[in-house]
Parts: sequence; C-alpha cells; structure tokens
Amino acid sequence: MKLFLQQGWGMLALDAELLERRIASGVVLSPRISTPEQLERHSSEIRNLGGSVLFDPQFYVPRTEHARILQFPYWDGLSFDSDTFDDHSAADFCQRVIDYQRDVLDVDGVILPGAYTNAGDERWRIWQASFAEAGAEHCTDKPLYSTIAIGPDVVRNRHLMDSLIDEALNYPVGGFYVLLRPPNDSFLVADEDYLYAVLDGLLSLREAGKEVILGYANQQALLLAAVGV
Amino acid sequence: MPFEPDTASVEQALEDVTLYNELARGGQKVVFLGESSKFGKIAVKLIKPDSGAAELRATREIEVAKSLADSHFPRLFESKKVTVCGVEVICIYEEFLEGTSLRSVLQEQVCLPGKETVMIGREISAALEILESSQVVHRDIKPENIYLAERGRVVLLDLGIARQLGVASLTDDNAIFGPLTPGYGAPEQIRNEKRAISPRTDIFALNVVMYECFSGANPFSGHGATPRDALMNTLNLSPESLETFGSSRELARVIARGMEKSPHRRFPSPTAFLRQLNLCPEANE
Repeated sequence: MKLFLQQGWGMLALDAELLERRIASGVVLSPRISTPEQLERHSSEIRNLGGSVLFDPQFYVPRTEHARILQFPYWDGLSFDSDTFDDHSAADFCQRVIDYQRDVLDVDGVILPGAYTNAGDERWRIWQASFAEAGAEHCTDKPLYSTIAIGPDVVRNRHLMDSLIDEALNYPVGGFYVLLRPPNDSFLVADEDYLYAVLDGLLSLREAGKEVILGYANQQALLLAAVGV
Repeated sequence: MPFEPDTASVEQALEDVTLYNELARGGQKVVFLGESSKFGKIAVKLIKPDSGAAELRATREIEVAKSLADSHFPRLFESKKVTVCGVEVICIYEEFLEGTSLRSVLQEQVCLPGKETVMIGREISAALEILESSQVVHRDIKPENIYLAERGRVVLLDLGIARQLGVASLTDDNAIFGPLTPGYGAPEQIRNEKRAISPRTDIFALNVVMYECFSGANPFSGHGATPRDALMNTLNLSPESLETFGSSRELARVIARGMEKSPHRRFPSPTAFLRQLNLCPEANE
C-alpha cells in the first residue's frame, strides 16, 4: 500500500518534510490548495525529492468553491456548473485536463475528471464513460485513473452500486481515484452495510487488475487493505 | 420477402462450388454443404441482409471470424457478394465440421459426467480467451453453438450477434432487451446494459451451459419455462447448488460464481475462470 499526501491550503511545506522522512511516497495535488504557479513549483519540488505527483482536477467540487479552481488553464472559459456541462464538451475538457497534468505538472499518472453523484443516473454514467474513452484516446503514455466520486445513497443501493462497478470495469483505464462521501458526513463510519458495499465494489476493481487510489482517506480506510487497495 | 433460393440457382451463381444438400435455413440465411476444388468440403452460407444494419452486422461477423485463426472456431475460407435469383447476397465459404452439436448430445444423454462437463468448460473458456484478446464478446453461448467435432475438437459457432468492444454498437439503445437467447443470456443482456457487456457476459452463459450439462436441465429455462419465464428467472432466481446433483463442492462454487447476476462478482476473465475450474476434482478424474 502506498501513501499519497493530500494537504489542504497552507500545508504544502509538510509534504517535503514527510517525503524526506520517507513516510509517504507521493502527493495528490488539487487546484483548491494554491495558485497554479505555486502548484507547479510544488510539483517540481516533490519530483526533485523523488516523490510521485498526481493531480485531482476536482470537477466534482460544488460550485461554491470554484473561484480558485477556475484559475487553472484547463477550464478555459467552460462553465464550472456541473449540472449544465454539455455532454459533447466532455472529450474536449478531458483533453485539456490531461494536457495540463502531463505537460505542465509532469504527473506520474493522470486522474481524469469525474462529477460527484449521489444518484448514479444515466447522464452521470455517460459522462464517466465519455471521460474514460476520451482519456484513453488522448493519453497513451501515462497510467490513467477514472474518478469515481459517489455519495452514500449510491453505495448503499446494491443495484446502483453493482451496475456502477459493472460499467467501471469496462472503462479503458488502468485504475480509479475513488472519493467516497460518508453517510452523514461522519469522519468514521459505523454503518456495516455501507462498509461492506465499499469493500465488495473495490474488491472487484482490484480483482480485475485495476489500481485503486482512495482520496481523502483516514485511518478507517486501512481496512481496504483487506481487498488489496 | 423471405430468401428461399433452391440448390440449382445457388450452384449457378457459384461456379466454383458443387452443392450437395441444404444444412440449415432460417430468416435471411441458408446454409448448404458443398465441395470446392480449392477448399474441399465446405459449408456455404448465403446471407441476405434485410437492412443496412444487418449488412453491417454480417460484414462484422466476417471480419471477426477471419481474425480468429484457432481450432476453437470454424475456419472461414472466403467471403464475397454474389447474385442469386436476381438478389445480391453475402456468401461465405466456411470449414465444414463433421460431428455433432452439444445440444444433440444433451438430447440423447440428458446429462454429462463431471469430467466431460469440465472438458466443455475448459475448451470453451479457451475460445473465450481468444475472443477476449480480440475484444469480442460472443453473446450467444449455448449448446446449439457448441460443436463437438472430430478427434475431441470443441468448436464455438455463430458469431452472428457477437459484439466488438470499442466499436459502435449495432443494436438499438432503446430496445427493451439486447440480442440474446433466453435461458443463456446474462442479466446485463436482458436489461440491454451495453456498457456492462464484457467477456464476463460470455462467462455467465458458459456456466449456464455447464450447469445444464451436469444437472440435465437449464437452471433458468428448463422444466417447461416459457422464454419470458426464462428471462425473469435469469434476473431473479438463484439456481440450486450443483452439489445437489452430485458435483464436488469446488465445481459447484465455481459455477455459482460464474452465474452471479452482477458481472463484477463473476470471474474477471476466462483465464481466471479456467484456473479455478482446473482446481476442481472433476478436472483431474
């Protein structure tokens, strides 16, 4: 199991220290934590320390947070409103996200954009598949990770969760960047059925040979080691 | 209008082949046994596409069949367009197989011993490995399409509704069901969930076939079930463990996993399935 650091605003200095002490093997950067210039400098610093760099494009973040995120060049005039994001723009947007990560940040793997859902509806599924297909077409030289950002209602609904995993297995990507919004936004989850559903879904991804990176993980996520995460 | 050419008209259109007899006829397709000076004894298939999509489907079937150079599939020698009775049709020269279908065997013997059930599973999963490497899902694995040819050769027939993954689908997105045979089609085919169709879809059908071989009845369409019942059973019914019919616990578990309703709970690949199948006591009898 590899540990990637995922720091908040003003905490980037800690990354270098923990990488030097070999406590972590890399970082997952995100647009919310700094300006593009700061992030590019930090990426270079991490690479010089021998750490891996990943970048979460945060397409799933609610609109209220968008001011800093929109400074990043891959948005380039696109509306951040995920609800009205045009299906046909998905491939074009995806390409810009990849170019930024690969050409500017020189990441070790590319995290594709992915909207957050707590419903798992057909429109969301079409976006997910479009991002994965566009990513595979545009990026053949770096590992690709599809973002799966889902809420507790999806995880708890067996049919929804099954069909989501069934489809995700067929995306032409090497792995997944998984973001789970816990029930009641609780830090530690006591709902056994929810935890079982997470383990069940991630086990299938691992058995299919897909890499899984769990975003914003806490100590409870260590139990996912049981299914090979 | 149905396509019903007689032997003489076909022979006249195909100057390089002598036709012996008709082997099968259905819809817009006729199959003859013939002899070619170049290929020897062959199956001559004539397909009259009734729409642009049907023609594209037939063309894809030919492309897929040509790419599968392996003993688990019939060899496709040649394909061309010919005019029969004033109608342009697609003509395929295919290897003629001597033997019998698994369906005929099951009609005669009802069920097969564990060793033979596992042999069928091994051979067809080897065929599925080849399809997987070609990014093709067969989508119609059933005893009628499994042919037991000479010298123990097992052949998978009929790529008519096969799907090439990564290529635009030719079936209707709004159809209630995807193309399938009730009793063998996987739940994701029944629900027409195209993005969930994968090699696991064929693994499901293969395990249904193996269950039927060992138990003597299809778990979803057996015992007089109507096609509608078979579809509902496939979606909702968990078949009785094969152990009830005398299999080892290992084989029962392998087949139960292969028939899981949700594709992600089945074996991730034909190779993974084969590995587990080979660990069953029946594989070493």
